[in-house]
Amino acid sequence: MPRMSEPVRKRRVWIGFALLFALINPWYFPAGMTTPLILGVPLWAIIVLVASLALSVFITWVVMTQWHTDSDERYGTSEDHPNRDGEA
Amino acid sequence: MEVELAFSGWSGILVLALYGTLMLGVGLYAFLRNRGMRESLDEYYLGGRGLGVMVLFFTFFATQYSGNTVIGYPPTAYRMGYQYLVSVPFFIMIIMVYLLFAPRLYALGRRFSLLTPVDWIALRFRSRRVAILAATLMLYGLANYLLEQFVAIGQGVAGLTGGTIPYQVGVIFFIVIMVAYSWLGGMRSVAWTDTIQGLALLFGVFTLLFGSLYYFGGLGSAAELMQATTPERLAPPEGPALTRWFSLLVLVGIGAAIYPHAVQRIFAAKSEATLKRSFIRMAYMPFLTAGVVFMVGIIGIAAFPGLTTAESEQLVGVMANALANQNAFFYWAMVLLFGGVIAAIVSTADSVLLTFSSIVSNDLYGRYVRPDASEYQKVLVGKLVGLVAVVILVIVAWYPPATLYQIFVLKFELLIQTAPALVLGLYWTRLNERAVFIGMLVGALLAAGFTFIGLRPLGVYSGLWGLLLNLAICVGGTLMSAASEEKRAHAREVIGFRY
Repeated sequence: MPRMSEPVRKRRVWIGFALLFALINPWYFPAGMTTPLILGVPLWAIIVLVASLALSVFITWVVMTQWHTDSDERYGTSEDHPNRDGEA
Repeated sequence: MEVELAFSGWSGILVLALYGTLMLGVGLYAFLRNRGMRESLDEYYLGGRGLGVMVLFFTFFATQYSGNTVIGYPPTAYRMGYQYLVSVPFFIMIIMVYLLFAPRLYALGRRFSLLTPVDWIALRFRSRRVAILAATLMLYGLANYLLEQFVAIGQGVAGLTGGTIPYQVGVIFFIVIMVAYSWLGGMRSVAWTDTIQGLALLFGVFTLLFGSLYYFGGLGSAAELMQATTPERLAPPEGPALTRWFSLLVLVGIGAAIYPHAVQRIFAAKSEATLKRSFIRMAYMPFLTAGVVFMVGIIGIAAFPGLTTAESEQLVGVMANALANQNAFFYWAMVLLFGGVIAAIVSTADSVLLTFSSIVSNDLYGRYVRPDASEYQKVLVGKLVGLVAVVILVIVAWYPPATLYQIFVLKFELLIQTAPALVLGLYWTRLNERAVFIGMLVGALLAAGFTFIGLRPLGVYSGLWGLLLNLAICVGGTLMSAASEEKRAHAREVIGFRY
């Protein structure tokens, strides 16, 4: 039986989500501050977008490495539903 | 989102007719390929739990992003500037929240053949009142959600055809088509048409973006104009705007992830591997959809400066009109864009209707009214009650009530109150059924009350206040008096995850 793993039980997942959540809220820019424009986009907006992309990448890592239950082994996958919706 | 399109007319009618025919064709194909389908709830409502990566991804996508994303977001970006950039991360939040419960819920769905979110709540708490309250909140929220889509379909069709097809005819035409293909193929039709609808939407928003960049100029000129006139639209949010940003992230993240039709899609995945791959793709879609329409709104600031709030609501229509006048390519691309917008609304509506019917079939009729009914009868009851609901909602859409208007606004605020039962119940065996029931009821009443009187303390949305109270009651009530040992043993048994 494979080793079970759920994101919700992993401390590193919570830490990563907490950090990235903090970064996608633009609270860390000083009040009344105007940031320079880069290609017509304010720098702070680019920082928030980069943090959002980092969250997407982190989600990818969590899904690929931190999530594994035995349901595919126990209940089978496509073999039980041969060609049901016309794709592999 | 009533948009007036000067350019369209008969070409709009042509595109809509083609689109309707295509959807019906998909329904017919699904029906012919799976003739045994009507026999079982699993087949009809979950596509036999056999959706592969592409179809699953697109049905998540088309369900989550509606026509409102395309028509409603650019005007908001136009008015708020970069402070509306929150629309990109909030769609990523949905996937983050999924990861906190979907892995376990999917495994349990396979083990117990769960069909709806209420199915899990009923299994976990073995409580009639909790299951019925959860089902009621979901049906109420879903019905209002559906009503909103119907109104949007009517306005979209009237706009696209330049009023040649009146609002009412547009609504009836698409509802008949939607009900027909849903009845023919159930979840399979819905998911396959979602795929076509999702592609149409993506094509539309990208054409709109490239056309705007080409003809109206880039983000630079918009930034210059904002700097000169309204520099706050370029500055990071602070104070109440920052609170709004934060509460949108939390509310949309939790709310959209536990929408009943979103949860039901978890159960429809062919395998865990399929679900995982669909989620990874979904994590990047905000940049390609919300991000793109956000840019369109910002470009609009320089292209059409000084619009009032009411005028800015027409922004996408105004931009589409201007683009359609350029050449034949953009003319047809804009016709297709609005076809795609209507497609996106229909694809949200069909998912909501299917989930509505499944809760009636399985959780009310099948569990409490006639448990001994055959699966065929249960599906039939779900279809018929769904149809009755549609007829009632169309009448409401026709004659909007002058008073009590707000009872048709509540959606999110109520749906989100089922989250503690759904999610906490997955992990916390001590969770007390009574606390869950009272929390859900009081949370829903508080959220509804705040909405009715328009109260939004600290700038935080009413649904979130309800959820906070709901959670406090669930946790507090359980800490004061945990579930009995017998109930905890049952919870451990159904959760089944042991480390």
